[in-house]
Amino acid sequence: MGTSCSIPLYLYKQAKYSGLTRVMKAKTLGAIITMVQIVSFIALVTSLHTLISVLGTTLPTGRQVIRPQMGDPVVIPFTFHPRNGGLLEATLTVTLSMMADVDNVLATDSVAVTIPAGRDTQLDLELIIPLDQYQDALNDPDLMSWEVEVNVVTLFNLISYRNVMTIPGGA
Amino acid sequence: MSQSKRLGAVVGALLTLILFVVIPYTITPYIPPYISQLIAQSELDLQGLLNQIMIIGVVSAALTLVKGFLSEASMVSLIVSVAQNVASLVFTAMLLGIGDIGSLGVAYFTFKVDSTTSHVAMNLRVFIVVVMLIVGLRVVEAYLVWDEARIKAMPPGRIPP
Repeated sequence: MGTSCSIPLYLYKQAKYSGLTRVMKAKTLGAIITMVQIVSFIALVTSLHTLISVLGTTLPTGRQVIRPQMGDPVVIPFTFHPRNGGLLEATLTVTLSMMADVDNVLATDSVAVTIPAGRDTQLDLELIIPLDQYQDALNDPDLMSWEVEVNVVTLFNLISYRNVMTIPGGA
Repeated sequence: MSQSKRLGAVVGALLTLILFVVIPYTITPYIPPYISQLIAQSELDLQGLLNQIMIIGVVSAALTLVKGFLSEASMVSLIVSVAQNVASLVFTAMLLGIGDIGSLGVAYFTFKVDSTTSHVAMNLRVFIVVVMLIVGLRVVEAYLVWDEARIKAMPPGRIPP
């Protein structure tokens, strides 16, 4: 009985003192590290691809025409067509504000949407401004500006990209 | 100490120098004009970023070279291994923070195109956490390798502690 117990102990001690267990531990650790590195690299590449894909399609490029629906209040509609061409789900938040000057927000609207991988969607925003304030702003277009905030979150809300654009002038 | 280990260290150090010192030092004139313009608009300190890459490159190359000429069983070898891992963490933090190591993976920059100003914040902090985890595991791995080498280097018959 005592002999049968002491043989594994002897082998363990021999393995321990010969450095075998350390080698095994180091190799196992090396394999784990390699796996973590590969997974994190894939996560980085796919996240950046998703971010770039959503950002690249959210905001229209080139000169845009804004068509206010006149009345009281004045309603200015905006439509965005973001597409998630990436491999991960992304949550997009767009906030649009019209500023009479730096600190004076005339109107603001925000919308958030979760876009699955490979899908597109449509975002509709409306800025509603009392007619008199709208006309005052148009009378002094140099002070007027637009602020567009785009926030994209992906990889299980672990990475994000936020862009706040300030566009001066009366549209 | 084997000759091949020394040769490997010299080659490794040379490659590190080429990748992280020679290329960043000579790359500026070869950057396409539209990218240069984009960098200028973003107010990014490209030269500062390249300088940081070169400093880390020199440190990493020196550490690689020193490690190749040390016995694996020496305490200095373990310290150099830990320093190499710390250098890789600093390099990652610098890259993800676009030159700002202290931001720990959150890059801030500003673009100015015509009259439009864009303030951008890109949060990649999770990858700094992952690299910290990897560096921690690598340090443990380096310790195990060093401990094994130390035991092997002991005189025959000596029982290790």
